[in-house]
Amino acid sequence: MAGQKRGGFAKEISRNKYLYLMMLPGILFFLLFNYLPMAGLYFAFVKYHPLAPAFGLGSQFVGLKNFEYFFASKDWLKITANTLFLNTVFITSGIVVQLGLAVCLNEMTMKMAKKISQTFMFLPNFISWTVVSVMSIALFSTDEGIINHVLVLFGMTPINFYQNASVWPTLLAILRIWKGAGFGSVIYLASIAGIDAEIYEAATIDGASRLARIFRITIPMLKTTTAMLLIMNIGSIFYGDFGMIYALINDNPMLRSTTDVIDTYVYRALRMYNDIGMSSAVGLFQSVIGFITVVLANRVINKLDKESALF
Amino acid sequence: MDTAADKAVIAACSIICVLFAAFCAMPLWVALVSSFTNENTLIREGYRLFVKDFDLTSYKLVFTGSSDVMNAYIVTIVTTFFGMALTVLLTASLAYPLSVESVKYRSKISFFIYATMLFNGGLVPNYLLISRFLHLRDNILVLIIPAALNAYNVFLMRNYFATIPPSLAESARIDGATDITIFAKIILPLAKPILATIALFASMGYWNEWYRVLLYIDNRKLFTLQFLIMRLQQQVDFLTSNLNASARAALGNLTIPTIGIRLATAMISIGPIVLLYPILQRYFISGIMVGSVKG
Amino acid sequence: MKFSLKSAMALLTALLFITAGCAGNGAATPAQNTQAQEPAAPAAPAAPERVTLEFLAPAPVTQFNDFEKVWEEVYKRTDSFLNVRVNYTLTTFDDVGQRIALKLNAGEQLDGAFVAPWTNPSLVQMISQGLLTNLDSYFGNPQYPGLADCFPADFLEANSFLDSSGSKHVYGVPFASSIASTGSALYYRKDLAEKYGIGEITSYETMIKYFDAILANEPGMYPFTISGAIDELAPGWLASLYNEKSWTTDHNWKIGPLDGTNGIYVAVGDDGKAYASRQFVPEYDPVYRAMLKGPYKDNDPLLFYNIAREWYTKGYFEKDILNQKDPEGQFVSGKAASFQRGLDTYIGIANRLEGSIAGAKIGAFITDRDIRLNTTKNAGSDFMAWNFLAVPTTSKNADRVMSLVNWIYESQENHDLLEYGIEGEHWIADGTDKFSYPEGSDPSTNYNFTGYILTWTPKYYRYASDIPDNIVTAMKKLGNIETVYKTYYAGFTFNPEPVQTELTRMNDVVAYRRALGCGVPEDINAEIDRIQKLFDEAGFAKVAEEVERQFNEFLKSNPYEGQ
Repeated sequence: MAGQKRGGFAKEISRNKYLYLMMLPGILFFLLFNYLPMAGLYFAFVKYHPLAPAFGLGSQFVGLKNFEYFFASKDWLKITANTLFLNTVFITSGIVVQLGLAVCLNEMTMKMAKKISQTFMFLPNFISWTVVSVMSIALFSTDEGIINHVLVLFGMTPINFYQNASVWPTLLAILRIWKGAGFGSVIYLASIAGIDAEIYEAATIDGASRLARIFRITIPMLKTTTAMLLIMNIGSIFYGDFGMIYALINDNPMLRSTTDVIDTYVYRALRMYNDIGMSSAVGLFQSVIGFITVVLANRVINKLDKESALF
Repeated sequence: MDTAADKAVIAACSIICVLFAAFCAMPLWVALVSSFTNENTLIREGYRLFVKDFDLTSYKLVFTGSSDVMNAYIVTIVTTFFGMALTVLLTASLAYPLSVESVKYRSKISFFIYATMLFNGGLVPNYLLISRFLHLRDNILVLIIPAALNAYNVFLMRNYFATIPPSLAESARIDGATDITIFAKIILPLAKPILATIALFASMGYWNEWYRVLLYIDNRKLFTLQFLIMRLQQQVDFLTSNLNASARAALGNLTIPTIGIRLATAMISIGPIVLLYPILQRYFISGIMVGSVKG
Repeated sequence: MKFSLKSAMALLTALLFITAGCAGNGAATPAQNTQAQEPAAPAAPAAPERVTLEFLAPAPVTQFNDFEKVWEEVYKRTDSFLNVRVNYTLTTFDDVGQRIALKLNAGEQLDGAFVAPWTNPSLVQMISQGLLTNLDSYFGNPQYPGLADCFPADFLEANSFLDSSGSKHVYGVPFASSIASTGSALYYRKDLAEKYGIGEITSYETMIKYFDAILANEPGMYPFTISGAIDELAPGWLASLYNEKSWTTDHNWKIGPLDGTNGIYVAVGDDGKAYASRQFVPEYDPVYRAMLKGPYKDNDPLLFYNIAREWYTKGYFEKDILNQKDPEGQFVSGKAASFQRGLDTYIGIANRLEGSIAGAKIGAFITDRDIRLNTTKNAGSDFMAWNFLAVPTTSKNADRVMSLVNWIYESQENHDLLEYGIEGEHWIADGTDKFSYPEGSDPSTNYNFTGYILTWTPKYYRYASDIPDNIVTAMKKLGNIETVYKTYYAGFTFNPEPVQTELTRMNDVVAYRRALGCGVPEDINAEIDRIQKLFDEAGFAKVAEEVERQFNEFLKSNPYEGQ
């Protein structure tokens, strides 16, 4: 049976030899730069020692001890839930806005305005979260933040942003859209650019309005792109956006109930007693549950629409 | 001809885009203005829409004491250019076969590629690989090669290739073209929007690369622009979050770089990539205006 | 799917075995080299063979100005007997610790590494892993006179650390600009204090008057600021500010946290045994409370938390204090009227303030009472340095590194060359203990070496000429081992290894204590209960027991004899 399989394998390779040849550099690349270093996943189970034999892999085996500090805290479920919730908000709001922007941009007829506004949308992506944080304080500060000035101006009570955890998921989602949606819409724009123009022409001849074209052609044609982006994002759904949250929230305990994610927790816990094993352990946990989620999501999509599945 | 309803749709879309663009541009404008504002005025009076107390100190401080900035620009441009080219080449040649239905193992290989997005071995094995086995420390290649291929780009491209009607390749194959010819002569010219997108993403990535520089580059001649900037930012982050009072005291008179410097460096780093953008932009923004992609 | 996974795993395993195979001869075993190397004579008649030493340190810049020029001068003076070249890799503060581990793991040459209690991994962790060379034999050794001169036995002992075998050794050359670290000041605006008729801040009361005056008369200016993103006002800092008792009386407890950040307090009883409070507000533990003596018996455990809350509600500092990171920036720009920082930064702050606000005058109120009043043996210190140069066990050049360090510490002249640069060009000497910058020198291009990575010692430290005398006097006292008394816990370092899991979980709670210490929560009592509960769940008691156990172990060889 093995022989038969191998025969099938050889036959398949020879049939598509050029295609497999084209893939070879990429596959070797992933083996070298991604799969070989995966040996490091084993660090999650050892007391890492840099001079241990076999490049540290020979460190003392400690079983599941490295997972203890995370799972023994009663907060781990809450933190994992926060991570999941925030990322769900980010992913859905991100995809909706990106898609919407791309569709709107596509309908714009003034060429110059279209190009300029797209360039502006694209720029915030270059501002690091650290710099954003400097400016966000000016925006949200209790004593003299711009938003509170405006609220007071309209006779409303100022919001104590930095002590009010409930407003932050929304604020973070808005900031993320500000920073990333313009950039992300490029993917959709490219997909729209790839739609066969004849389809639109035929629809126009049939008397379809612009609105009809948007909802009957453009958006349905973006289905596979959306499914793909969704699956790719779901893979990292258990990874918190550490860069953003740490820069904007800092270690402000008053905001922790909604903004504390796995990555900020690990950072806080290990910043005094850094341990490769302990940080690898939580990383492995995030990967494994992400993996399970993705496989499930892919299976669902596979059932709904085979074309859109990732693998 | 556009009906009144169509015109309303165009107007609504235009308004949404312009408003969102303004929403994006405002903070940038404020940052730009602030980077030219006297630091004390900035802290005391907050951010403004127009410059008050014009001051070039921040920019001067960024450029003095480091002749490195010009050099870093060159390194950044070189790595961005070659990195982008390599990325597009590797990504396209891996992504295309994955979109061809006759490739039996494509779903398995896709999974093999996707898994790299989920699992990574972490810092230690990667450092070992680069330093001990590939001996790429202090080599400009370390800034180009390891970042050349990622699963995300591969799937974006595969997704696009899949929308190209297979009949095109099929008819060429009947005419006796090999898969490589089909790829180069038929597929790639049709895939300009996605090639431009990946080129853009890749150049962004290379432009912003600093962590590999921190880890693998000691030679000052090979520092990148983002690295110089991130060093500054990192110092701020570190001094303001990781040290207790005694440890900070024991480092003597270290001052946190001013807000002005941080904003100025952010502005400087945006500069050139903004120039690249309009060049690539026409490939994916043209949309249906260009007419049939089949030409 | 099966195919790709299986084959990938097979390939991976194969590669793993290949790499593991060649590792056998490359990697050193961790156990080796805990013994000190026998030092060779540094001043051998003929110059030893040229060797390049690889150093790694954190610095705020990618390269110090004129660094090569200064080293050229060093080489010129030392080639006949040291014959070394030094290659400094300067990295970020964040990265330095992990980079040491990575370099060792990858088998790269590393001869001198900066380590500190805050590096990641920390000094103690590296020692317990056997990564650092025992440097005992280089100190107090007549062949290394510079080291013997600048590093008194008391100081060294306090900077020795337990290794995995349980014995104490020097594992890093300790760098400190002063012996005692209590030299902190409240920096304020003397011009404003004078304007509102307060004159100079001389006490807690005048300070409060100053705050009130600012609050009443300077709209848009906060009387005070603190970097609430990392620091807390209460209890530590307020205690040193408020305190009118001398620390030296009946002092049998440890004011600061013994284990870094988690705030475990320890008191020593009459039987010489230590007890660690099981509460983060230590007085709430009756056993601990009963052990306090004299004036400390009546400590109001809530006093400083109440004061912090009062400051917060009165508006002495901003409402969003927990996100404030740059108090100095607020002060020098005129947004805040005072903040706290070390005495040694006086000149930098004065220049920034007076350079940016016309008419502003700096004032410094030395916060520690005993130092301010200048009583003899007035400052206690655990003699702990915060910065170290260590030699990794993988280095073959320990002797050469230590000979170089010895040379630096052999004379004021050698030291000054590396710390301040070339005399006349980068700096001008002013007597033996002060210095100034040459006319028209540009601070952005002048030599800007940071002494904490190689050259700091109180013995050779120079003060900027413009620092007022009272500050210099205070700093000198803090820098002189003769005028500083040694606290009973000096030399104790907590080894976190046995309770690492609990500590990581406690680290998570610390931020709530910080919020409390900055006066943010309204109901102090309820918040203390809540925090204590969180601490308890994280394993506070277990850590306290471990601190207590280790400290009692320490007391066996360093008995408490009053303070």
